[in-house]
Amino acid sequence: MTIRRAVAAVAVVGAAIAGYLTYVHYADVAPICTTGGCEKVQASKYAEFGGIPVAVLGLVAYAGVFALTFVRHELAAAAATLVALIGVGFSAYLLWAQLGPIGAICQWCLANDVTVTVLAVLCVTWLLREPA
Amino acid sequence: MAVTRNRKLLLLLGVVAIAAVIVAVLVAVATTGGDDNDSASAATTTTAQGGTAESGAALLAGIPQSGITLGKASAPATLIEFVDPQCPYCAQWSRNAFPAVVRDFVRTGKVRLEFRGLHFLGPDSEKALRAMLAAGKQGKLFNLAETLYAEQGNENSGWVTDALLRRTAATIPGLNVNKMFADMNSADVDREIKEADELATRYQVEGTPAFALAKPPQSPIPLQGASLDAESFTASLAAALGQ
Repeated sequence: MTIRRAVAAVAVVGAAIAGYLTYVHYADVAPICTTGGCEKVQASKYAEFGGIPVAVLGLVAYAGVFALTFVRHELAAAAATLVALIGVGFSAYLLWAQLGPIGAICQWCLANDVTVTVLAVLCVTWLLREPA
Repeated sequence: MAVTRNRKLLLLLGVVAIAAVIVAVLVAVATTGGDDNDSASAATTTTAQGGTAESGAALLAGIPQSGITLGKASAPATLIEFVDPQCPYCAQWSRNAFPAVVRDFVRTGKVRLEFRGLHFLGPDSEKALRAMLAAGKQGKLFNLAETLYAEQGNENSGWVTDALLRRTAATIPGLNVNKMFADMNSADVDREIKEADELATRYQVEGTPAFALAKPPQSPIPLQGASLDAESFTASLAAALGQ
């Protein structure tokens, strides 16, 4: 498997998680949750940014990275890396919010944290390997 | 080869730096630029009147709640409140007098509150009422009632949505939202609504909020002339209690 295919595969996993949370948001249903805090997290102010559900922003970001994997160019790898690193940073902020102000943990958010971190590592590898 | 490697590392450093700046801006915006009505914390629903689910929880903290009652079962008197979740005067009472009643009479063990919810204003009333009574199954009726009063919308505008109920209920610690939804159409809730309707008929309740004071063994008496502000209401209540 090439590094680009690995990035694409992880982006699909991330998009699936973000897509599910987007569905939960707009269908107004409770997320499947074993940690007991998903609903509280989803109902918190941290679940939206500028009035847009963060799940939607995540979905767009993962879709963007997925699309970039079809471009064999250093700049595509750089752009994907940028998006993934922003995702890592913002996910870290949301993790802090869960552990601190919200006081509840959402398993889907944790799954996303792992996914976006793996994605960032893969994107950096892709960037370093992709010919100019 | 070394040149290419150095250029790659510089590019990566540039990407990391840009990402760091963007994340810092995003976090700054998220931290300071949030909705004014939701600035305290994620677990807090700030209400149109300035109250919060958190402050409501603080007001009710440590006071026993069971079903439709708030306060000690050993209280010598019971204040029965007839309310409709859509009634603006009920929201006014909740906002102005309820905290004082809880602080001065319920918490001190002088009075137990009994919630009798009506739904004569329309379908939004019934839906909100069912949610409140379902929350009562988990000892959270008064928490949800206070939160929903604070979110009260225009009469029968469809403001009592599942989303609103889910969002407000999620802010109440210890309330299982899914169970609340499951209990909303239970036989127990049907029975409580029917009982409240029958009691309202018996006490000739013609509008909400209306109050009756029960001091066993005496029969309950209507609490007449009680204004909805804290000072007047607590004065009327104290007088009815014979204090």
